[in-house]
Amino acid sequence: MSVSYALAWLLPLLAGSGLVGLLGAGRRFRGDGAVALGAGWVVGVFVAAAGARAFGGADALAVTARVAPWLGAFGVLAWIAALLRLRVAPATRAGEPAERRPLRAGGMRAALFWLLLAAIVVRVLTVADEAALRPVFPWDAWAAWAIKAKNWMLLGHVERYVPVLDWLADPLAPTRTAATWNYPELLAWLEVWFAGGAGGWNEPLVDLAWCGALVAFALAAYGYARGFGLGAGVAIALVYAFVSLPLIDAHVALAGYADLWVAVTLGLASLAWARWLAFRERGQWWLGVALALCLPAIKLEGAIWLLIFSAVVVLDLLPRRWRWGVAGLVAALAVLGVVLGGFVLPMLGLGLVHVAWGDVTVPTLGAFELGWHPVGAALLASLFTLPNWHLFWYVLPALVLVRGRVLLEDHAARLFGLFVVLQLAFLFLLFFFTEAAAWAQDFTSANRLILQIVPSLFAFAMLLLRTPRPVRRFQSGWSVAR
Amino acid sequence: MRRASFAVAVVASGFLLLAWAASIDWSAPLRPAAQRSVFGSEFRALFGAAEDHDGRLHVAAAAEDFSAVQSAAPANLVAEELPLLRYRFADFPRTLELTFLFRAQGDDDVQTVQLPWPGSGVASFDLSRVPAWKGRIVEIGFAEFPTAQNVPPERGFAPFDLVGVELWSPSWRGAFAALATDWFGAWPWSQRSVHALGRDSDAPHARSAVLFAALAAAAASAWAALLLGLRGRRLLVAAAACIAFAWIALDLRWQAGLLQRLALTRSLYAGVAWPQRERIVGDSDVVRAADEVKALLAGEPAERRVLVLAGSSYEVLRLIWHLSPLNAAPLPLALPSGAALPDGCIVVFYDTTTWHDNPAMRALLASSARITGPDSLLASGFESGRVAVFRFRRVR
Repeated sequence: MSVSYALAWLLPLLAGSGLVGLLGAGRRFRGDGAVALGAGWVVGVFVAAAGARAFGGADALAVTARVAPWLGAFGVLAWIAALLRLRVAPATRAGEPAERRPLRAGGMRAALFWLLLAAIVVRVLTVADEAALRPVFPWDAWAAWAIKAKNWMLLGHVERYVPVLDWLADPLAPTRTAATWNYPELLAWLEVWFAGGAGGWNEPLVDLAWCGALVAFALAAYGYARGFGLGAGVAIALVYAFVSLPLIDAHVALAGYADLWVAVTLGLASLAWARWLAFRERGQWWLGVALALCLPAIKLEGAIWLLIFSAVVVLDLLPRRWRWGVAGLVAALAVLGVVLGGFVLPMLGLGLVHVAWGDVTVPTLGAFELGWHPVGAALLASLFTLPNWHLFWYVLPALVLVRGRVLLEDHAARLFGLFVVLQLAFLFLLFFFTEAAAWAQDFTSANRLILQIVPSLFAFAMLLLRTPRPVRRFQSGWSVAR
Repeated sequence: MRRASFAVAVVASGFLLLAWAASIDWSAPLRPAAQRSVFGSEFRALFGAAEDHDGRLHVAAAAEDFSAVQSAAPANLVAEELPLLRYRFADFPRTLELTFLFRAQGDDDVQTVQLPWPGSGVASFDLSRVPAWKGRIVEIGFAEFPTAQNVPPERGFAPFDLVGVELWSPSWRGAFAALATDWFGAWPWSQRSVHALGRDSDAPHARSAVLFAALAAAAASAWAALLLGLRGRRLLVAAAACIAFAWIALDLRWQAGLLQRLALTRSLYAGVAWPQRERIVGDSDVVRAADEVKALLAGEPAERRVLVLAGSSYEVLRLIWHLSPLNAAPLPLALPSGAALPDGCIVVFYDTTTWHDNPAMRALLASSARITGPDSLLASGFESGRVAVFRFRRVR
């Protein structure tokens, strides 16, 4: 492994963890180190990809060398700022929930903890070994997500992707086209970043970033779970449950699809926002919002998750007496808009989406006719009988039933529950009322869309499992709606 | 006593669920009442070369298309009487996939059933899951192909032995053996693996292991409530333990499957440097076609538009992928746009005779110059017969 490839991994970690550390410098929770490393790496990789886009156009091969000093400097500054902030206002552990049943060395639960950790490590090594050996394998990985980065790296410079008409109209222009010319390019730049570090187009070394995303989410999820007051045993069990999910593993072993990055980003945004809901930690609110804003830059449907996320984030910020009134008003306006012939919804990444009775038109995707499609059997098979999710879809409803009391008592769990309901409602609408039903019927994209929300469902599970405590105002400035 | 009855109930319910998963015929005996053996040496090679080796069929070489097929014609074989297939191979390479073939009397069509990688032990398959397994069977056999989508065809074959086949009448032992092969068989990755595992092959499967695990965990939790009298928090802890046990069991199965897949990947790529690994792909014929086109267009300016048409959309996109960094795009993307193709652009046809057969395409290319490719559709030669390249000139 070359130094520059190692730097391609480590500099995002330095920059991102510094940034996440700075955001959370006011308070300390158990597991913050894991959060800084995990969420920090993902944030850092996105910053590196943005840097590659800004500075790497003319010489794609030198992109890592060009961006690395800036990213390194940014990381050092972020760490200095975080440490200075700590010095000026030492972090407090006020509000941190007490840990239930800490592990004792040598006990049965400690042994289980280490066993589960070992199982996680074995799984990560297995899928990493697969990813590190094979060329890009699954269809969309090479046809849609890696083709731009590969062309740019092999050309040595970046050429813009344009619609086919423009490409044909000006045959001398240094432009390119593809059916996926308008797909978001954050992942392409991320691939350029790692390929640049590897010294050229090297698919396994690029694809290992997918394994990085899995490990980063696992680390952050463990840290957040500990921060919510869950014991180390429960936290590691949740992380094991996530890492063990076969479809997640398949997306790491056969790296290249965007869905895992959408899942991890949405999951981290959800975890950060859940922490804001639970402890009103402003830095986590910003982290959640920043990550959510990256979603449309990863994949087009990220815009949908951003819209749903934004809706619940705004709802949470509203004073309680307005909250349901505003929600009702928005719903009424939507119904009125449909009754009056449709309305236009501006969506980041998708453009002006036209919603009408019987169809929805997305400029980048086309028109979707609305009508009932009976795909329940195929979806049930995907969730409950095929070996994609182990017992996840059995356990989640059972957990909601068993811990339903928390939904009544805890504002954080309740609002997050609304977020989950909206996500599931969108998927229900998509699969049962649009032509996307075919994706469920033929067992293609349906599971991948479900995969995108699974990490945020783990965040929901954490909120359900914690012991809710009254939220106190910690920092002045923002009203705490309860 | 209560604990003992709980243990018995858990084991009994687990066994009943296993029997349900294996589709046990409750009236069947424990061991098969009838069975037929077909030794490897009774098979003969239809494609590829094979010879008798002490009762086994040693398959020494594949046919020109890199596949091998062996068949036997057992007499008086009635499908309904002998629905359980047991098969054994030795030294079966990781890089091949296995298909069982059979033909019923009066049916000209050969039926195929995809089987998991057989390994070195005995594997079983319940043919009653295959609707066509009925009536008098006049021919059975196996076909071996380089593992689709994973293995370059020319790297798939290595010699192996077909040890033999047994066909059993329904029995509990056979049903459980078939269930074990189904649940723990080694399947390769496929393009569908990122969409839905368990649907990444077309083989008919036994009942779901996930559903079995869920029902077994639920049954054990119910027994804990009924027989151990657990209530409230203690019952929740017991149920969580049952679920955790079932989850881990499923995960161990998945880990074993991952390691089997990794073994195939390692057999292809381990110890090979990256530039060489890039060319070890399931569509190595497309790689060679891309090499040919790239060599031909080596002197072209970088911005030269290259439009690609092939026998399938998969081949179009794969050829574009392998042609990188040429400025290539699918011809089917350009033509419906209504825009005129620019003079001097390159049009590449791969594995299609559209340029010759299709009148509209012939008209489009009427003034264009063919710069490589066969002079005749009957041209022999592997690559040159599949690639035709034109420099486009507008019809004046």
